[in-house]
Amino acid sequence: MSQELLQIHNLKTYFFSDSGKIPAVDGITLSVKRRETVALVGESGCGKSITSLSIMGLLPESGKIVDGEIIFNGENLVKKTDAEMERLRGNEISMIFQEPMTSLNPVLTIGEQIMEGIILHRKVSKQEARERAVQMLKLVGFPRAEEILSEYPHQLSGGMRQRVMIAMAMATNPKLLIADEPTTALDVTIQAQILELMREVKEKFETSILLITHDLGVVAEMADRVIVMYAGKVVEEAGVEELFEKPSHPYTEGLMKSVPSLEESQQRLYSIRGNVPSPDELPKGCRFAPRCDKAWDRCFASEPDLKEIAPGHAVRCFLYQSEEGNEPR
Amino acid sequence: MTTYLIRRILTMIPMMVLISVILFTMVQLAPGDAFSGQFDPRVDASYYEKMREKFGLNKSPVEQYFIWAKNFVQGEFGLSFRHRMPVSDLISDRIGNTVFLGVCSLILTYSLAIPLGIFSANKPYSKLDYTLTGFSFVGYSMPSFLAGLLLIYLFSFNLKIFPFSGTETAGGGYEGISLLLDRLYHVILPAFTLSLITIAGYNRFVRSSILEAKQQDYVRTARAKGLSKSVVMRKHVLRNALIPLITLFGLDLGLLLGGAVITETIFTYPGIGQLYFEGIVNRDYPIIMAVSMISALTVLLGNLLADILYAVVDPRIRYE
Repeated sequence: MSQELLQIHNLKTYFFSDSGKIPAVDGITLSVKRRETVALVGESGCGKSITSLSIMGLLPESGKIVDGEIIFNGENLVKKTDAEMERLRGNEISMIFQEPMTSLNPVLTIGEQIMEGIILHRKVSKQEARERAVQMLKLVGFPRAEEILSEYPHQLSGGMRQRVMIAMAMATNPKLLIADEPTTALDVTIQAQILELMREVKEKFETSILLITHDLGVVAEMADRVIVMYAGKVVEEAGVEELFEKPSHPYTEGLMKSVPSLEESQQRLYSIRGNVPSPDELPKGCRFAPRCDKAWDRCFASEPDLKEIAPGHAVRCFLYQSEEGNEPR
Repeated sequence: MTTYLIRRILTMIPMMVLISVILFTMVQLAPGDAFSGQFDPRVDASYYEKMREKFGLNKSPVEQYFIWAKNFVQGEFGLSFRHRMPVSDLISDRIGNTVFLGVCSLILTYSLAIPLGIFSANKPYSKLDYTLTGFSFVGYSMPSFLAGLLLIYLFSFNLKIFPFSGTETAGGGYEGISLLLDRLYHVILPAFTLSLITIAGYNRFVRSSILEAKQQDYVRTARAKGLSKSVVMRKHVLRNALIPLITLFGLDLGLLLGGAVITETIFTYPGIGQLYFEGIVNRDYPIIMAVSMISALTVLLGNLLADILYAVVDPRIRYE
């Protein structure tokens, strides 16, 4: 059994519309080891959610994986049929979403929604599925689990619904949990509880987590390794401590600086100038160059490769790639 | 729930009173009365005066209203001027036919509109979708008298498949199941005419409602659980998408009666719609009032029924 649970090689997911193709994910490579939590970080629109939907095989109809492979547990998911993916989804790979308020079906009870996945994948009776659902609800912190089974989503708060989502995702004991901004829609105290719960669940079920977020606080709290994405590409990859100590890509540095700090009193919170380029009008050269304070001619002319600058720390930036006569200005 | 129901039913009373006043005023505003259309030079004018006096038509409109209202509340719908029969007898003879027509047209609407809407929503912007949209526009904009005549021309006159009038074969002597089949055979064309507009409207509604529900986050959650597209459609999308149909159902229950006026007249189908049409032509106001009041009550009850059904199917709705 290999150590890597999930390996993505050069994944390209493009969207096709009348006005042409839009490279939402443009050749990313990443891996998640068993029992590891990897955070995928980036601004909205950088392709992190599309990456997760590509893994799940749940891309919208206009989106298509045009190149690359997604090796999960030794099998290439890109080549799998719909039926094969259905056996995998919610069974080996589960997913929780950003909006707990709308991610549950309003007209079905919590019990029905948790049990349907268990019955589908475990081929158990309704009674056994019910017992499993109660067990899971207790595990995610509902003391009155039996009652919750017959309640409807609107009767629960946002935090409780996210707990239900976690119970639902973990009920089949998946190997990989993809969490797409699981705490973004929750208030801060509830966020902490949900993160704590995810850590507990991860330990108990020995699950790997691919955590998609733009919140560096969440990253620091949860992740073993961090992958920073910008405009459909990986720009930096490092262990969590290394990344927070030595953020190397100017974009990562910018992200770090934009987090409000309790220690220093700042006049004004730092923000990276400009906006994320729309994927259909990407700049030539380095995609971050137009917003980068350290960019020079070369950055606008060609695109840097992802290069390892220290063990386990890779950066896509010319600052770390010496070339004759082209010193940083 | 019980208090809510009682409150809703009680508020219907002032509503019905208001409706009856407006209806009565409108009937009175129309020129002439039940006898002005029957003018016959051989009959002495004083005869009509006598008849007007006998039926209370010479009293003031306000007085007439109160006499009508007092009788109506006591279940006395008055005497038809034309048929010289109690209106309640005329209605009870025919209402069964109209209800039969209405139910058949509802069944036709739901059994056609929902599958068509699902087809459209499965492949939006496809050729099939555009074709159905086209037919829906035609069906929605075609008045029922034209649709009825076209159906009669095609299916009764040219193809001779369906009868163009009546509720059953005259002198057929059918009983039991064969009588039901014979009646269904007669009701198909009028029921289709009556439901054409609702089929057209509902299938568009179902289509957009499904397309909207498919975009919802919980559908993605269901897919992420590994459920197949068809299970997600059946269990998650349709349940949510079809709930709003209840509102239309409540509103259209009353409209069925209104639509039946034209349809029953074209197909000489002896229901209360046809009775109503005759009533209007002959200014037979006890009939106009009685049928209008029944129709108004159906609309109000339809809405109440819709609200109750909402509470049954949508757990988010509870009435205090």
